[in-house]
Amino acid sequence: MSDGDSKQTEGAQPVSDSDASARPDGRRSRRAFLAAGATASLVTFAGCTGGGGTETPAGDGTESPTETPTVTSTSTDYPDEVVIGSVHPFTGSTSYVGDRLHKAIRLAATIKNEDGGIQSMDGAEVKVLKGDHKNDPAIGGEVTGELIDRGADILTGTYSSPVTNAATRVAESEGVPFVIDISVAASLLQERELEYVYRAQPNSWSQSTHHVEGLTAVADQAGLDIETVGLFYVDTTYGQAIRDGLERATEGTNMEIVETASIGFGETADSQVTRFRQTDPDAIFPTVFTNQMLELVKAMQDQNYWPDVFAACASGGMYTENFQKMGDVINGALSSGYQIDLTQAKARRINERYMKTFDTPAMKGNIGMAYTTAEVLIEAFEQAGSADPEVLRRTLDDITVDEHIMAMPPISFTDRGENANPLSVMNQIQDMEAQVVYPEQYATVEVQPELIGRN
Amino acid sequence: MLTLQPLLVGPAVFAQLLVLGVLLGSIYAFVSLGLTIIFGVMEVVNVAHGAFTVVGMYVVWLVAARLELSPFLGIPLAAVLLFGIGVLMQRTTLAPLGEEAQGNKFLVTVAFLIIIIALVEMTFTATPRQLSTGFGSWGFADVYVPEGELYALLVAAATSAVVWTFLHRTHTGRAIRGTADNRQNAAYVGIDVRRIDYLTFGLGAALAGLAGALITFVQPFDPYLGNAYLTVAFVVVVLGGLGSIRGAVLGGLLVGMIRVFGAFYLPGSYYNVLILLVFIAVLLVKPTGLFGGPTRA
Repeated sequence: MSDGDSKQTEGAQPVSDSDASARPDGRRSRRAFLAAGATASLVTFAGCTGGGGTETPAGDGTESPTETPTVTSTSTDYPDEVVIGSVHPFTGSTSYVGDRLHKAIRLAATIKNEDGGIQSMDGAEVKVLKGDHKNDPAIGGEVTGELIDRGADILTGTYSSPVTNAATRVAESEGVPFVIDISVAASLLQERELEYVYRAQPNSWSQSTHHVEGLTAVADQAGLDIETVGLFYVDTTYGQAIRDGLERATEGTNMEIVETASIGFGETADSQVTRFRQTDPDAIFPTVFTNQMLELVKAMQDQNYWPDVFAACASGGMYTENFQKMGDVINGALSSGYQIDLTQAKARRINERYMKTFDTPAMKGNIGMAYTTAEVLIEAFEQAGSADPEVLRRTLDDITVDEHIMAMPPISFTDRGENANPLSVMNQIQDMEAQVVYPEQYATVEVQPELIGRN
Repeated sequence: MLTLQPLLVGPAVFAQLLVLGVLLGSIYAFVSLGLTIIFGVMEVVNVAHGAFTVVGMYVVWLVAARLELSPFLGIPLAAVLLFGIGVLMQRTTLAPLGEEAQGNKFLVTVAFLIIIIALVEMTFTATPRQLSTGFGSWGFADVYVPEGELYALLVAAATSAVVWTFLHRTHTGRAIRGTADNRQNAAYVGIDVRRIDYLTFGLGAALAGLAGALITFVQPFDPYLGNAYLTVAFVVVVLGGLGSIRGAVLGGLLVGMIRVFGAFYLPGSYYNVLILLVFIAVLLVKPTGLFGGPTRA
């Protein structure tokens, strides 16, 4: 029985108890209804509706469902395969992203295997095992342990800072390297002393700093003076981390945060937009998932409100499929975040293959980041010439990966395990496509200043 | 830096919040309606209610996005489909458990919640969806009324009126209310309680499906949105009084108002705390809820 199943069983117990207090006339008491309601709430939020970390036999680098990978030695003492553990949400409300992140990791493994595997290990094959954390930190820690037990030599994940917190704690205690692909909260590495944990993506501090820098540069080009700002964030660790980062990044600038509004899952953004209308800041910085981004834009249109500058920071939902849903109003808007570098032939090739292989939309920044993180892991195997976790850790300490697909300088790690050269680029929506406009070296188009403040 | 809004706002802002509160509250009330009817008549805490709303959402999405027909056509379709699902569920899984197995019935509804949501996710993925309705909004003196929300309110109000009339002006409706008052006595006077249960569960499910269909006019959705509404519905039903339709309507409006005004005035997500504080306060003053009492439905 999976953890999720256990929760369901446990959650049902109070109801059985409350049955004992049913009234003589057969009516159930208020207490019973309340207990049932509370239990139901727990169950519905436990994210327990999915399967238990099932595998997808792909024949392209993904391990089969029930087999435990055998890390056997050959005559040259190299294992036949090296194993990456992919800890992501495969069920639950963010599973649509988790699935795409995992596919990117599979693709990186497949390409390496097509090129002959890990050369320094006599062509060892790269395998990918997946673990479904269901957006639940407790499950995240558990599946991380399971992946290690099943032979994962190195791990990556998780698309949720609280889950990453739990998963990296397990990896650290087991002495297995964990390279975070997507989890933004700076506190994950800045407030903990970890030896085996690294992060390829820019953290919340650097993303916020780059957002303010990039926006200032683009606003200068457009002749806009942004003095007042409104923050709109999803009330989760991710949203709060970026909110804190933006408050920190705007200190000492001429931008003043005059409004801060949050949104929870499944909620509407109407009141928050009324707040923005009341305060009327020069710019709004949303940091939300796709659902809340769609909701925000809808609520703003409903109230006929649009700020001079709409500049999403590290936000979900800012990609082509959603722009059509948001409508023409989004054209000209800005969005910062790490991004795949489509000025490179390699990045374009990988992107094409990703779309073709998985019949899926183009790589977004986070999908590109997951692919890049997998490349870092693979390069670590290559440079280490070993799957020994301790050797891998020492290799990661000194690694530099410069031929990656992100719009970012070479990836290496600081003493705290953070990416030493993080970069978030500024995109502008032009002709309903997100295009990099800053910094210049990664820009795919020039900024169109007239679009920014046109609303 | 979390910010509080000044207490005194202009009349346009206040009117805007009032309008938004009524619109959101009407959705909350309508989502709660089926839940309170089923509990009022059958004493079943139907956790699958949230999943029923999700099915309603995807029925409308199929009609509008896949078949490219008017989303309004999806509304009756969702109601009919969910009525069938509700009757089937009652007949095949709940009724066989008999009168004395309320705990087991609760577990069955939990199982249905999990199964239905998993099926929806497997079929449609968890990718957020949004209808391309082209709805705009009407503005009067800087107060805006979103079209989608207004249509949802009108359909919800009309449906609620029909349901009320059905329950109070028809023989079957009176039988349902009689069963809600006392199941044993209802059986003694010749009411077919099993048939009433089928009908009630079907009606509750249909109302959930209708509510889900209307939610697509209001906000983006995914297979998990029903969970958020289910939680609100539980609060509304208890606040309004178990089994009370009037209570569901008033409770829904109250929670909608608190959420809208709370999200405006309070920082972060403290408005959720406010809802629960009001919830506790009402129950302390009136433990049976606003309209709870010996007579229900």
